[in-house]
Amino acid sequence: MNSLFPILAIVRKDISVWLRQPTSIAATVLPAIAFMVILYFGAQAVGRNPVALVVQDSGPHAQELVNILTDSGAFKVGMITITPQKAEEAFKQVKVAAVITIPSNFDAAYNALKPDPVTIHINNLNLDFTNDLRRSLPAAITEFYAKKGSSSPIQIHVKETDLRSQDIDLLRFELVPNLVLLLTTAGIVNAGLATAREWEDSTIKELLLAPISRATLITGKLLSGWITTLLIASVVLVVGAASGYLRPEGAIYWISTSAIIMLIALASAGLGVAIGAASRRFQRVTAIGIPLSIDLFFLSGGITVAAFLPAWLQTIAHFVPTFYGTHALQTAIFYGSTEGLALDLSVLGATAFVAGVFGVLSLRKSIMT
Amino acid sequence: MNQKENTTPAIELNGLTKHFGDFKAVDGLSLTVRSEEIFGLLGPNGSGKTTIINMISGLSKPTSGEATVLGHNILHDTRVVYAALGSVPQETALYEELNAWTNLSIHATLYGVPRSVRDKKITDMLNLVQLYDRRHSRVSTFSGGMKRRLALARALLHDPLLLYLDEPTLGVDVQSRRAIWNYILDLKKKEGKTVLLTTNYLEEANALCDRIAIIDHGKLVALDTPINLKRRYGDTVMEIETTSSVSAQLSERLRTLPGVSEVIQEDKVLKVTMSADELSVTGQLITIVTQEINIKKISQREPNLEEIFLSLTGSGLRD
Amino acid sequence: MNILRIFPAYSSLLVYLDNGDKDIRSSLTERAFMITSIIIPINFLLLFLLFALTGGQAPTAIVLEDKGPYAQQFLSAMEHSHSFIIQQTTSVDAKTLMKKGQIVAIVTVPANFDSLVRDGNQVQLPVVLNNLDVDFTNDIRRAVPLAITSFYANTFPNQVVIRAHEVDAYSHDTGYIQYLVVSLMVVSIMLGGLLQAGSNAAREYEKGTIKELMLAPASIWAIQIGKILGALLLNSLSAVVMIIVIVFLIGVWPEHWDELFAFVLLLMITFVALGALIGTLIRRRQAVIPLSIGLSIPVFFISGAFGPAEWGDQVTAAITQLQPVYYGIAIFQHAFHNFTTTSTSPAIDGFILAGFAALIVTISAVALSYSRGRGDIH
Repeated sequence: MNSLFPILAIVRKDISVWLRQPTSIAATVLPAIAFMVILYFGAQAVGRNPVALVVQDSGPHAQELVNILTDSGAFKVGMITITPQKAEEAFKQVKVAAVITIPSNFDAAYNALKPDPVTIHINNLNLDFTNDLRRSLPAAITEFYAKKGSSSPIQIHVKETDLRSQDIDLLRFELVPNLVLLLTTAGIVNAGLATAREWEDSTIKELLLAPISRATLITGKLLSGWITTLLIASVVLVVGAASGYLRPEGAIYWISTSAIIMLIALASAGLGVAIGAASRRFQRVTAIGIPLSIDLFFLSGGITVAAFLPAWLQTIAHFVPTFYGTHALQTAIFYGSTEGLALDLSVLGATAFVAGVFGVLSLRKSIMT
Repeated sequence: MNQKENTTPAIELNGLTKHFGDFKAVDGLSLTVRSEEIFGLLGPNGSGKTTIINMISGLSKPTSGEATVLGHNILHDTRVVYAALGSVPQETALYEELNAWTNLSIHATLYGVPRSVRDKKITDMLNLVQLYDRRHSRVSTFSGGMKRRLALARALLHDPLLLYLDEPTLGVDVQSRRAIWNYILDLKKKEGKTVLLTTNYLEEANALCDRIAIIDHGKLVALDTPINLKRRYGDTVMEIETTSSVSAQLSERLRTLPGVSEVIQEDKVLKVTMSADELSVTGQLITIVTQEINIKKISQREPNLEEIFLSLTGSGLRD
Repeated sequence: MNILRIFPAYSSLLVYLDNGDKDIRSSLTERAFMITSIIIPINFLLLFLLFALTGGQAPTAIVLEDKGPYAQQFLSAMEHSHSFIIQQTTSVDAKTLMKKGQIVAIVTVPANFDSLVRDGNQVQLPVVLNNLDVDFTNDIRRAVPLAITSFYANTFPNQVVIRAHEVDAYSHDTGYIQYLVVSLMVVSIMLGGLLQAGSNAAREYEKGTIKELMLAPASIWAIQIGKILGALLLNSLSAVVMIIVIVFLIGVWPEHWDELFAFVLLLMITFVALGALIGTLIRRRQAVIPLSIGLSIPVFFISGAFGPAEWGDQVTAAITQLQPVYYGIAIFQHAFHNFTTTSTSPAIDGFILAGFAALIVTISAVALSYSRGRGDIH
């Protein structure tokens, strides 16, 4: 009990100081916000390149194809014209990514079951959107034939089975790795700054000359880093739950979500204390902490589903603790499942322990010197 | 720790030594700080003062020797000592983002001040240093003098027996300096506290300290009361304005008097430098002068600590 | 005769050089930060390459219960659809891969596939999806029917007669990484410039040494240009390392080296000046890093990093033309790949970029002089 009040005093002091440091708070949340901006713009950018349509046949089948192309989610039709020159001019001016030409004999060829090519002229600057465009016209053709129903020559039909009860929107899906990024940054930067500040502002003497044990001091710093991180997480979780974007369904999933968040916060706070004690300078803490958090985010496959990563990166991701945090949270929040939870919690628990030990040792060493 | 123990020396250093590699920062220092005295530790930059304070505070481990504070070995009974120690570091170590009250409140918790009396003690301390009206203001808005006063209030909050004050009036205006001096003097007079202070202001050491230790190159060079230091190491200068210049023979004769180290004639003013210990020759000196010439005016300048300090430590610049 | 009286420009030159030298020396004493300000932009580059490595093609297992010719042709259609990374495997293994998270779809070609197709009967093609997010899930939902259509177009050309005929603007495809890395270089230069110069400028205020500069009888221009030169030299270390990584490690060889060097320099000047401006305004080094990263990332994304900015939202496209990264990316794409990604020519883009550089240098000098005149230095 003797140590409890001094520990709480240190926690209270650190939180009070943190709340009065808007630049520290900004340093914490900015990377996560920046990545949400990235995702938003990235999602907008995907597959919505402008194309020009040159329609040289006014027949019903041609019109049907035009309608399908116009409604396509793969691109946006910025121009419909009968004159190829106008479209090609826009192409040269880099105003459109492709020109799709429906030839004048489209209907006739279709009715006669003769080869009926539709040309797509692609500005193949890079493979990413080029492949999107390459798929887009065949996809429209597929839809054209699908609309024929029983008269369509295509007799193979997909029988889909989904593993998950619901499809999750990409932006919503990515909120979870962003939350993990936020926890990581918050823990490392906040706890790091709170520790480094004691040396940078020379207030460490006040703590060192107080009649408290070193263990009390170290515990206080770790606890304050953990709590400030949890404060940020709780704001996000409350907003997420209220909006429905990040709402675990069921008490067990609330509990597992909370446990995962607490472990991630503890791990990052421990690491932050270690960095802060070793570096003793604000600038070094942010210079190391922010890139480290972003590195962990990327290396754990934060920007996509793990299966889409190259094999070597998937292997690396399995050694990055935030990978397990992201997996556990996505499974609990989106899919109402505890699949893999035991492994995820074990990894996160071990990480929190190791990071905590690093924090203790680093701070102890700095205090002793 | 309680007042019964104030017959024990507040601080006792025996052969305290500190090496940093090959460099000897403190070299076999032995001294005693008595209870209920204000003790000054003076020395040029790099003399080892800060190292000594750090060892006494337990922040640095001596290479050899022992430091005992309030009867306890500082290294073995650190927390016991800290509970009875109040410290005002040179950097003040205040949390600038927080207000005055919160700074003291945190300190009170760290030092185990009972909750039942905490608010009253904080109020009393803030009133003592005349900062009660600013208790909700952020420390970053305080002037240098206010920060020092607040740091002093904080150091006194847990009613320590011993106070370390490291450059207590550094960067502070004249009014604040006087106020702080008065607090420090009251600490000893009214509350019986022991104060160890370091300062580069000789005037401050002269005004406050019962005894002064002068440290140089890690060694104790002198230790005594200010008056005794002046007497032992200082010179008095007597200026005698005469109606005309005195003769060379008279000057020579004056030089032979015991304790007289220098006689200079500047126009019609005779400046006689004599040891503070030998002021009894003053009468003889006046008699000799009046035998030759009329005296218009006599003035006497007492030795000052600065001159003594410089004579003991040298006037060369230190790194 | 005093050379400074004869050649006042000479005295300004000395101020530029001395000030730059002073900043370089100060930065060198903070080695950790200096190294970090070189590493952060390169880190950024490598991380976004990881982003680029993330495929748009869905890792999928195909279980061929029928190994007949039509089944094989169907497999070929799936492989050439630009939508899948195919693994042919057994049903049990496919389920294991799905459980491990290594694939997101299993397509099973049923045992009687060939006979059903040959006879013109309906075929049910089971597709199991690990529908983690709707984005790739919908891609797969579109891609499988597309592969089916492609299969029919190749196998029964007299039944499915409509086909896509592709004509490319450039004779060879450029990989996503090779394209993206060029855009990344621009933002890495931006990040490096902001960090280095921003930190240098903010340090003056934090340490109080700004007073020394403000009280000196040197022109504000001389002081600020000197600071820019110092940060430029340090930032060029980062630029050199980046060029080495891009050219020799990633293997993207510039078509126009002269353009590359000229515009690297111009971009560095622009962003170093911007960094000096930011540092002068915010005056805290602690805020420089998050602000630099927070500014660079969104600007990068709206500036046509992944493809011409004009192809995106029109409002964003209009806004992005008001800042230098847009022109920088366009010029670099031309320098490396000979691509034109804007409706203006590379020459005009370069001219506009030079204008931005001059403008930002001017504004940063004005900000510094405002600081002196306002007397708010404490």
